[in-house]
Amino acid sequence: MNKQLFENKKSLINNIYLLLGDTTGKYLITILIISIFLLPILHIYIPEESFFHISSYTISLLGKYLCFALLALSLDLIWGYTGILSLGHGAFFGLGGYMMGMHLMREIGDRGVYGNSELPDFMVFLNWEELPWFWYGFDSFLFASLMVILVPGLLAFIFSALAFGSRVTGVYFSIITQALVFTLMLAFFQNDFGFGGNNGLTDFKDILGKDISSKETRGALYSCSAIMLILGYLICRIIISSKIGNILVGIRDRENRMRFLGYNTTVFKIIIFTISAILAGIAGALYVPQVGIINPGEFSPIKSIEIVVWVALGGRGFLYGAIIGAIVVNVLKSYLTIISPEIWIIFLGLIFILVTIYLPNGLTDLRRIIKRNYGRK
Amino acid sequence: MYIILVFTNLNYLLADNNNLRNHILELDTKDFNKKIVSIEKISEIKTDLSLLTLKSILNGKLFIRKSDKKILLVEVIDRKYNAYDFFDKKELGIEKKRKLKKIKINNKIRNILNNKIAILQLSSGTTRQKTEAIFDIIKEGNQKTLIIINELLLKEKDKELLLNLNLAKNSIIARYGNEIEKIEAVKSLSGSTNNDIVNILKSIVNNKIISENIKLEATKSLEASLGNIKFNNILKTTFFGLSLGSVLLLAAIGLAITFGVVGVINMAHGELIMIGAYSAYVVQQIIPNNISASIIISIPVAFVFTGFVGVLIERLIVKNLYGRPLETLLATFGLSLILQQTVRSIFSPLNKTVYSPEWMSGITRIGGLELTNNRIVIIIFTLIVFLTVVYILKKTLFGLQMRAVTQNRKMASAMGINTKKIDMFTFAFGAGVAGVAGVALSQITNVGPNLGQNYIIDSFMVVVFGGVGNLFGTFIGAFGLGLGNKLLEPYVGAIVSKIFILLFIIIFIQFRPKGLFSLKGRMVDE
Amino acid sequence: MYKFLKLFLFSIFFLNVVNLKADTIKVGVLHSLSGTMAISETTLKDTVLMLIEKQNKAGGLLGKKLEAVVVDPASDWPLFAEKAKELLTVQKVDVVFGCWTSVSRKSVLPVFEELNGLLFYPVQYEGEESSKNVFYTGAAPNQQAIPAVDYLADQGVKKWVLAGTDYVYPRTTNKILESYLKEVLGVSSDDIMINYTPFGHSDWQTIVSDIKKFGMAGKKTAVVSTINGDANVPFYKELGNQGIKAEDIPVVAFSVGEEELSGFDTSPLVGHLAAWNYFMSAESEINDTFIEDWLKFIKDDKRVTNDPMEAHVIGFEMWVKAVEKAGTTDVDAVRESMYGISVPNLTGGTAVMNTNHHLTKPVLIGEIQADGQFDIVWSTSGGVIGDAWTDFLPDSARIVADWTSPIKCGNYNIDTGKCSGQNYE
Repeated sequence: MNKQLFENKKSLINNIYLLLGDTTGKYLITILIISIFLLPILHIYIPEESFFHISSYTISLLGKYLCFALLALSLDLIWGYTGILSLGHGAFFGLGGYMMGMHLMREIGDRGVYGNSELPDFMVFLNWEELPWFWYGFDSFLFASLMVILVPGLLAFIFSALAFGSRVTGVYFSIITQALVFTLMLAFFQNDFGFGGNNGLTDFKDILGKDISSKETRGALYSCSAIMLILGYLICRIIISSKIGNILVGIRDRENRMRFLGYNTTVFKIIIFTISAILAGIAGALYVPQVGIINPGEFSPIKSIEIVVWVALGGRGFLYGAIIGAIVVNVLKSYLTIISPEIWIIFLGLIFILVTIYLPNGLTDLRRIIKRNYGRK
Repeated sequence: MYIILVFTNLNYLLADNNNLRNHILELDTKDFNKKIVSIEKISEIKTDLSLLTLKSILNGKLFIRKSDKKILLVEVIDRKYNAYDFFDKKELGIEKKRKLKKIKINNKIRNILNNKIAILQLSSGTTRQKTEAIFDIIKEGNQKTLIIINELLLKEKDKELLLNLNLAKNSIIARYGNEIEKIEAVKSLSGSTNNDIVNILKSIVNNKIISENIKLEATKSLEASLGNIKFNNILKTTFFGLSLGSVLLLAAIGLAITFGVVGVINMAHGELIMIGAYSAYVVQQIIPNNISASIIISIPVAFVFTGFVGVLIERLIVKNLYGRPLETLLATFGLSLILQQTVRSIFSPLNKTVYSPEWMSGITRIGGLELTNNRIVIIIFTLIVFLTVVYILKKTLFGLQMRAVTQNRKMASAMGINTKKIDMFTFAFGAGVAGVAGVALSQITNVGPNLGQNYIIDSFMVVVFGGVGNLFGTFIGAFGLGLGNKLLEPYVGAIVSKIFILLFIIIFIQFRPKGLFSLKGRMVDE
Repeated sequence: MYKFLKLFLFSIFFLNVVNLKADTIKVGVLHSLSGTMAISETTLKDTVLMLIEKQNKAGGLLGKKLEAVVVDPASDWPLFAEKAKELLTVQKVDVVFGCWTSVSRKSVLPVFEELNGLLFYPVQYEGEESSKNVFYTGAAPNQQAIPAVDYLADQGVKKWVLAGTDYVYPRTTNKILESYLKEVLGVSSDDIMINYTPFGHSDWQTIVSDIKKFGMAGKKTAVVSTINGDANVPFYKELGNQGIKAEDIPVVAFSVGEEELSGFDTSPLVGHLAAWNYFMSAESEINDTFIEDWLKFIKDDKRVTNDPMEAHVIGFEMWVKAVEKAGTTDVDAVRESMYGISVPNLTGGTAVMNTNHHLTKPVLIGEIQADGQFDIVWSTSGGVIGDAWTDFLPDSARIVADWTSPIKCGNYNIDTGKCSGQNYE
């Protein structure tokens, strides 16, 4: 019964076919590669009056979408291909974000409002005596980057090793990931925890010695997001097109059969979950400098459910689907909140319902419907 | 809400009335100390109106008309000021707020008023008023009140009241009596868990000029009291845990049915609870004058209405998604956004007031243990709801068919059960129960668009912890988590205890990957 | 392939479309209309819309009509920053009224400073900030918390419970109060109990019973509550249920106003207190007119008015005056003419904008009544100057804010004579 919740009936062969015939993904990557160079150039070198200029608002918005796309991609890897539904992927995204945020806080140095070079502002006015040990080392960008990978990765590894080791599956796994993200939210909300409580980490000044709000930084951050998204996509592609990918899909569709065939499914699941968490952490780390704030709100269970919604809307089990889903939902959010601020949420909700009922594979179905009705040109 | 003032005796001396009028007019000052003096004087006037005066001041109903200094009694209903003449009770119609001046009081005066009223009510109030009055007197009794208590002790028949009166008497003697009286009084106070009495005993123990004999007795009595309090605290914490557990159970039962039985991940479950709470609000708007009735009526109303919403959800959305249960998560998440925002547009984003009936407010004293009535009612209510649900599942035809469909859909269908219909009714049933939970929650928390959001995560935790598809597991899960949370809270605080509980669930699931009570299946892949 | 590229480029240019209409003055409204904060912020959006409508009826501003640009940041803090940026760069608004809670303000602060925008923040907050681009029309701690404690101490309170939601405003306020209680009022640490709870905390049984135990031990006790929003209703209900009366243990709150009280039955809570700069029950002609206008605008005569609404009224009128004085909506010019501008308070008297971007306002203390209103039982004789940097925290006491010459800075350290290296000017 419960197992059934998390199964997709589609056969293994069908999926492999779809992966080979994935032309949309190719287009997507091409566009992303072009944008790595084009957008920052348009942003930095084209004068503001020009029609072709891309404003700092637009470029950081696009950068944000790409971070979300990477996050959605990481979820699709475990949900779409391995059948593990994480309702707590925001945990890894948020942790990655916090690691980067901590570095950015240290970069402020003595330029905080109290001019204290030892402590971040929020510690000063809450009378902290000294820097807590877990803030050591974050002065270095390299160390912070390492932590961006290590902290979410380690947490995911330990968590999944425990859970998959004791064969927690299906909805039980989903709910404990939710418990995990909820725990982190409560913990980070506490001011005593040492991460700025509800206000989180803000007021960043520099990144790698460059003004964080300068055109060059914005452009570079966008390019980094695009590059990471492409790399993430390629990693996922390599994984799923290799033999491992077949095993994963096997786990998704009939885990016990795979186990009887002699595969140690637990190990595969742990590895793939950890990779997914690392990707999510990187997305978070790129997200923070572009939006300028990280706060425990990122750990709210609803946000993690939203990630699942992006993937489902775009098309679960299609890497490009996850990317498209994340971008479409967030573009809608950006536009609708200003076009109809009072009832945009109703629109969004309706879209979620209609898509699930009429497009079982999310937006990827649209392409097939169009193809069926209008044929190839 | 609206206290009806009964005027028993209209015979009074004109002179007293004039006196009263003057003192009331003296209350029209910004200096609260002057007001206290006037109130002392009013309470000394021996007319029946003085009690009414004090009560009206306390309830904020006494006004002075600015133009002619007339003293008015005002009932404020929907921001309309219905004025009556204070002395002859003639109705004067609706007055403009700007033309009136309210006799304002602060907490100090409120305290004095309560005490004066308590003394006046000791001889005339209802049993409940009398009990409250006695406890007020223990706090600030003196020799004057001792005389009144002694008189009452002769007249009173109610056993409980007599007990409390004796307690009050001894509490006064312990402070103001002579040495021998004091020792006796202190002895009799032994073991009492009343806060004021404990304070009296403490002050005797710490008093340097009091004789050693009394101190010795007081120490003994105090130790007995503190021991009792400690024991009571354990009981109290357990009660808090049970009551939190019952709230969790209420919120989770509906989910246990839709999630466990139909296999639908209903993210809009919280919003169904919210709809139930709003049903209570609407019913109360329709019958505003009888709060008890409105709450009781709103239970079936909420069940039916939320159940109907459940049918709509099932027909329009969930029906299309059976066999693709995960997608229901997405669709119902969208639905929960829609429902929240719709309620926001209809009822405004502000919280709504749902009044509590009289029998759900106040405290029940069992020995020295003080338990809040609304929590007791909710615990009992939860048990009733739970037992009813279990009864329906186990003893009715609908329940039988529902279980059959849960256990083996194909076989049930082959036996002639209309599984689609059962699905619909089950979903509606779960939704209805969520609605009933909403009515109960309207009594302890906000009734607003966010109501459901606060319970959805906890509900999922409870259902999964207890084991999906097992109502008994949900029951144990809810009370277990509630008790655990409340037992931890005094030691680590509210936030950390919640964190501990969540970590506990995560670790617990490692040991029992299918929750506390799992359905046993023979298949490897169920 | 070509098709996709075209679509992509098109969408980029679409994002770039700039609204070129220039015959109106645009006013941005940045308040959450969905999510957890909608309960408080929707009212403020309506307040600004009402003020704009009124101003337009009176002939607009500088001969132009005002145009409201409403966005919904959906109680999502990064979205606040995004929407702020959109208002300033895409919609090109001249001023923004918005935010609620410090985290939303902190989130948009870098945006306003980078793009030199103008924000009016209407809610009481913990202080410790003075930005060139923000005018704070809510109360600073010395305009709410400290007077309230003074009042209670005057009423004979000897023991204190500081209860709050665990976030920055309660933490800072309680830090300030703790130091004030100990150093100024001489309260020993045994007589102070501090308690924090998570957001939306709903089960108050244990904490209320602890407060009862603490408060019933002889000395007169009061609770200073910085409990936030949603958690208040269950808290007050539990107080009522456990029979804690205001005469025994009064609770004074800084985040509970008429609107919060309209959500539950206040009859068991009569006498509990709140400290604000405005109460709906304030007796003045101008307040009566404001309430009448509001009820007419919102088309619901059961609605109430509250302190943050007054803050927006004051902020809006000050901005209008400053724009008229400057003759332009240019941010720098408007800011210069803001200093010293005074407009009438709804409670009587006048509010003045100081050079530290905080207001001078009166402080009122009210007791809750059975009808959900407050009776004002105490008020300061004149206005109190909002203090951006409190004197009761060691690091903050050394800092002053003054945006006029010669200091021209929001955090001037009197010891070092420096404005620590912020990207100001």
